[in-house]
Amino acid sequence: MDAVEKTRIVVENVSKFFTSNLGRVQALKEVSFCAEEGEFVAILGPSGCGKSTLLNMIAGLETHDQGIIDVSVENVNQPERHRMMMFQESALFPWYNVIQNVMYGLRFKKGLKRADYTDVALYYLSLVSLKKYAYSRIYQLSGGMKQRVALARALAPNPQILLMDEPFSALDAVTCEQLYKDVQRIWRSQHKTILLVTHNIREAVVLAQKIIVLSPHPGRVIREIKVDLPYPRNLHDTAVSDLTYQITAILNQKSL
Amino acid sequence: MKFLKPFFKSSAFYLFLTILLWQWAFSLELYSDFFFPSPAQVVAFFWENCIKGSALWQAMDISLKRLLTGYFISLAIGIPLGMLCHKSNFLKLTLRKLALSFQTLPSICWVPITLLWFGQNNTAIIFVVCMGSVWGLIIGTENSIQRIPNIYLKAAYTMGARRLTLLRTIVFPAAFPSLITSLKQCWAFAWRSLLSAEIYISTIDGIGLGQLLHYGREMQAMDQVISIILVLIAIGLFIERFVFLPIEHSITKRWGEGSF
Repeated sequence: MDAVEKTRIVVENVSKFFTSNLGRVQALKEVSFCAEEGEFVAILGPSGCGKSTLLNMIAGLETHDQGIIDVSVENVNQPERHRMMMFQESALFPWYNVIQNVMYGLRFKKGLKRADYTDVALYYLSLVSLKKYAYSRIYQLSGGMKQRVALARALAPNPQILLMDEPFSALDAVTCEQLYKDVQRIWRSQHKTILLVTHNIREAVVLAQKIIVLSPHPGRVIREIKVDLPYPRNLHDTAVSDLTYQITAILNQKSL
Repeated sequence: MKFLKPFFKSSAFYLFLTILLWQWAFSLELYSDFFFPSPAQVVAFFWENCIKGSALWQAMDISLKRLLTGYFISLAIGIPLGMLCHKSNFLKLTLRKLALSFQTLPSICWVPITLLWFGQNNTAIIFVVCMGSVWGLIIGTENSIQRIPNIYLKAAYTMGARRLTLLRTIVFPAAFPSLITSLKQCWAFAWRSLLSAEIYISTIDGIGLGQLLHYGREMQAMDQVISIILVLIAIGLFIERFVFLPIEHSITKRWGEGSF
């Protein structure tokens, strides 16, 4: 649907400061990494390492103090339709029903006719297996279903980049496992660049091709790990467990 | 007698019982009938002024016009000002503080001012209605926008919503459940202010329900006083049942239980 252009996320020496009652605090220190087009990258770190701040800055919701954040050719200063975001809570709008939520982002897309909104929304709802809930109200959905609708809503305007801010952290283990499968399937079929922020090591290993490990106070990159396991991956693969164990060791060592 | 069973469980039955009790109390003849009228006298008053004549309808018409005019002026002023209070720090420090102070003032206190400024007329009464209801609405609107979860705004912003679209598709609907509480409160204040003003101010351009109530006392016509009070209660219940309750129901249907 869109003109094909290389979508590369480049983060170079990015620093961020906050002013709190303790004075000026450095949240991020010289963070650098990049995500190639179609790559699935996880940003992993304990709470307080500034990983959500980093994602917000890439989304254009916050500004950075030093360094460069570059998405394709244009500089990040405002959220654009070619990158969509998913949040920790579903952030679905309860005054709209499911399909109206999925259609929300379509109105800002140029060259898409109003008459086609429903078809586009239904296509993405069927992608997350929720087509029959199109006309349900948000409060009628379970937590997992809400996040799937949120995923459909983020995908509907056909963005090149999907930014995920701990979207699975509030879900139970069984629901998570199902969603990991869905996300792998959708990522591979839709060719998106995905940036996932998480504190769940196993989740990062199951989903990502590359894991950027951050350590807190101030947040900085301590390791970049390539995950060369074949897809689809399963939470219970031994290779996944092994790598999870190794990364846990790295994080423990750093926090000492 | 089985078919009467639902009747015994309905509020109509208890209303009937109350009227019976009232008639019984009247028949004890403890007070003279201009202190304590019988149900029949009240019915007669309604007959005279609602069916044979139209004095009550006219008063209702005048009062409701004043009320609605005042209420909608309050909405037109209060909602935009409340929104501006949320946006501007300057207004938060000035207008919001002013609204907080005026909100504590009982609306009847505006009567001396309005009498001097406008005289004994419709405008005076509408002014009291506005003053009694607008301040709370400014605060209420500001609060309901304040309480919108930030995540809705963030989500809409990342999808590309700006300014008017953001206002129309996110801010208004997200604030609506708590805004409706403020609108209801504003209505209640407007209603109370109207009656205070009408009882206090004799107007030359039309007699409202409050004035009828007041003249009832002056003429020692207790049947009139009780009748007007019944009309006032009926109007209050009607608005609650047929205006606000349906709106609240529709919100619950969309948002789920506990959305207020």
